[in-house]
Amino acid sequence: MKLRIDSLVKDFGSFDDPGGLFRAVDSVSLEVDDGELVTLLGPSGCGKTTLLRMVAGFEDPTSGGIFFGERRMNDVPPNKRNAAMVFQSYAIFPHLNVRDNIAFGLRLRKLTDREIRERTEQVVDLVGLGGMEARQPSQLSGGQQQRVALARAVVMEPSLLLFDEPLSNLDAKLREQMRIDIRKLQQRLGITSIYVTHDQIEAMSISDRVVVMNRGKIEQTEAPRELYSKPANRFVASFIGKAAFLPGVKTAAGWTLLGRPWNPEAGESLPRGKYDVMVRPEGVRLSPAGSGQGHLDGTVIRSTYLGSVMEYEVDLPGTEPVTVHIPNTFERNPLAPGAAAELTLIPEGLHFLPAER
Amino acid sequence: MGTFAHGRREIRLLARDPLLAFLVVLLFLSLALFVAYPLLSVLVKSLQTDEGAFTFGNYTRFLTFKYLRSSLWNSLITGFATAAASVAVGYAAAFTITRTSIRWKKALHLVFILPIISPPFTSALSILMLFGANGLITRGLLGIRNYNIYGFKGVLLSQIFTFAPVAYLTLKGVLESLNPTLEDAAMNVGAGRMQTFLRVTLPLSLPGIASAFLVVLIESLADFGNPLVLAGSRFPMLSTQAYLEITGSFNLPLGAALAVVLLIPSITSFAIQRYYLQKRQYTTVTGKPTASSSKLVSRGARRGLTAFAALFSGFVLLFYGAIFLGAFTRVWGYDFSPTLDHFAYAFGVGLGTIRDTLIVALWSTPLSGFLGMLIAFLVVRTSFPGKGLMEFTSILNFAVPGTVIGIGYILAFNRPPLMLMGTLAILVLNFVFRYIPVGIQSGIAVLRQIDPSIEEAAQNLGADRMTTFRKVTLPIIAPAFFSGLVFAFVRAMTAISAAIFLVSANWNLLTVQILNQVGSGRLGVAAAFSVILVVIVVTAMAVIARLVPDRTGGMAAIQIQEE
Repeated sequence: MKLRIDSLVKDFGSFDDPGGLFRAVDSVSLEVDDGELVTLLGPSGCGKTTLLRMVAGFEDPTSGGIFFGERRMNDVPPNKRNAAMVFQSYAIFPHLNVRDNIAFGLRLRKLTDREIRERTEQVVDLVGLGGMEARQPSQLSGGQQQRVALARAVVMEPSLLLFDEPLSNLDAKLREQMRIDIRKLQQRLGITSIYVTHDQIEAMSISDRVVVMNRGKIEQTEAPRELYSKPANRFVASFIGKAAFLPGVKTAAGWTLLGRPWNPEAGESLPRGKYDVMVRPEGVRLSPAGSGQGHLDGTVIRSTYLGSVMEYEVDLPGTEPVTVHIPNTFERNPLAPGAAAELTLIPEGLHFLPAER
Repeated sequence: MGTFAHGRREIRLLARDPLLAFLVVLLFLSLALFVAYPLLSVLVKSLQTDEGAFTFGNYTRFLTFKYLRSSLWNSLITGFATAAASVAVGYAAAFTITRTSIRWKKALHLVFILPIISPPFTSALSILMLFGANGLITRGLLGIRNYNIYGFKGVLLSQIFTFAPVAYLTLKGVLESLNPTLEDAAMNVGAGRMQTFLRVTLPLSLPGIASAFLVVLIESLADFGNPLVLAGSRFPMLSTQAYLEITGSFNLPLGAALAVVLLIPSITSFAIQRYYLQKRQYTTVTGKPTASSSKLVSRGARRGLTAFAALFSGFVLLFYGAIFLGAFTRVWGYDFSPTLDHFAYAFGVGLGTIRDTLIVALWSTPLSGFLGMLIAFLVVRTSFPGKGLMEFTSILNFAVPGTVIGIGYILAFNRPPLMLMGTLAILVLNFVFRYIPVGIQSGIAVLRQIDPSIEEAAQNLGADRMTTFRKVTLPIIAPAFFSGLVFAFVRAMTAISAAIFLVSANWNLLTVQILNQVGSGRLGVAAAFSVILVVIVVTAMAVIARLVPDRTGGMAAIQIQEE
């Protein structure tokens, strides 16, 4: 099923303070294709959860429309939407065991006992909870509770699956595993899904497309790869991964970077003007000063050993420091803080944004 | 925009949910009829002459007659003294239970709260038996003839005994919710035990102490049984004076005026407690209570606290022992030979009263439990116009002394169209609407602890509002619901102040019966009735605890309620 969101607005007013109106979601439009998984990504308070809750029917939009297929859903109560949600706190019914939690929705649909049992068993296997059907929620670990929540949603065969930061209460290792499992399950069942998170790596790894939100508005909607390499603006660039922005100018005579002539070997088709040149940590090569390889001179101000990469922070005169990732080459004595270094910008890694300053 | 649009939106939501709208309207009507209307009737009556003309005369009389004026003064003095002493005793007891590792904690806790489950004037009866003119201690042990226990000291002693447990429960909750890590942290940075107590524990529990003080003050002002038994004619107090004006002098307007005067300090204390102090309570606990540290208490302090605990529980046992013995003693003070006569009398003449009391309690208990949870649910989980007003009205009765409510019910329901005097209904209604505030408060507390997304999950899976309440919310709040039931039952069995206005030849209550027996000097019969009453209450609590296995015991229930 296709989901369409049309110019959706949500204002929160407080009863006591009519002046304290707060626009949580600001004319958001979005289409999610059948079977697609779209992530809403943004800092806390950006409106992503509010948007999700409006789709689920827990919040009433101030204006705009929500369409499941062709059907306008604004006035459909949450229990009639068949948009199953996986909650951040799992929201497992504490008085029901695993089986009854999963079967809760099916029982309300008045299915036959046999059908309920079959579907429940099937889903229990699907999420890997076999053998735990009779357990009480208090006897489950966080990861298992998460699986119950997932099973309870999936068993409904919903037309839409909604995830509200489902992994934020799990530890890092488990989070990674669940991420992979959720994605596999979603693709296998082909359910149209919206996934809310503030974790960019989660968003990148799980989504067909990512919607980056900020202050109630959509900043950019793109597939993960394009989002990372061609962010629409500095906010998106900084929110997804690390990025430095160097002032570049294109004139009739060619490019200058930080005031010095420069041949980027990229951006040929761009019009003349001022640009913020986005530099990703892995888009830079670092060599010791005097090697004559680089076109920017800087000073290492911090070096951090991260295992798979060595992270350097390099100060460039006249602009912000650049973060550089160098794959671990097992050198014992890399560039130390204070060392002068030369930077080489890799053309494929460059991205030009019209200057915001 | 703003308020108007907001209100309109809420009305729209109500229109979408006819069941909710129906419930809201029904509740508003009942609250208006059984809470607001009686109170207004008292106010109106106090401004009328006997013939019904408007006058300030009742208040002028109150101000000019020294005897009447002193009743306010006496009530206030007693209230403040009782509150101060109860808080001191309660804090020491709560501190002992939460911060030391003394033995028999559970038993001690039960002894501490025993007075709560008995009628509020049990202690008055035991004080008469122990310290009265023919008291076991005063006359029997010390040989003092005609010792006069009546007046300030008698009422004070009796009220401390009655209300210190209330302060204890409140303060126990406060001390439990203070994260002991804070005390560990203070000691970790070098504070001694005394410094830690004075600079961390005490300041953090101060809002709780103030709150407990006001709660006891309210209860003391409203107390009826103890003053009626022990105040005596030379120490008039407001709640009893209002009663005497009405039943003795048949001066309804003056009684109403006294009730209004009594209402002023009660409501003031309530307002301070609820709207000022409650917002200032420190809750430093985030999840389950952390294991209490007992490093705070030195060996000497522990000994002192143990001695105190022993003394207080000794008093409780002495008081109850006296009543128990008194019930089996021929003539207390003169003839201590054992007898079953008092029980024979109680079951003979008083059987009807016992039956009446049970019927009233069995009606009002489930009604008030269900109504309390319903209102709590509406207040916490739904949105409708006038929600704040509903919460306020429904908890208002907590602050209103029973005497005032009793007078209000006489005035409101002693004439058509609602001619309820002398019926079972008026007793049940009175209990239901008096004791829902506690159910509501605990319901609200429990509901606020339930993650709203659990209810959203139910809706998300296809449950409508009613199904969600039935299949998810209700099972989760069941323990609180049952403890609400226990509380309502205990109160319905033991209440006196409002009920004494509302009993009739058809429907009488045990508590009123006990007071009558005390009044006519038959202490043995009064003691027998008291024993019967306590046995019924404890049995009922055990039954309810059995019905809700290992989720909540009756005692634990009371504890939740009082906090």
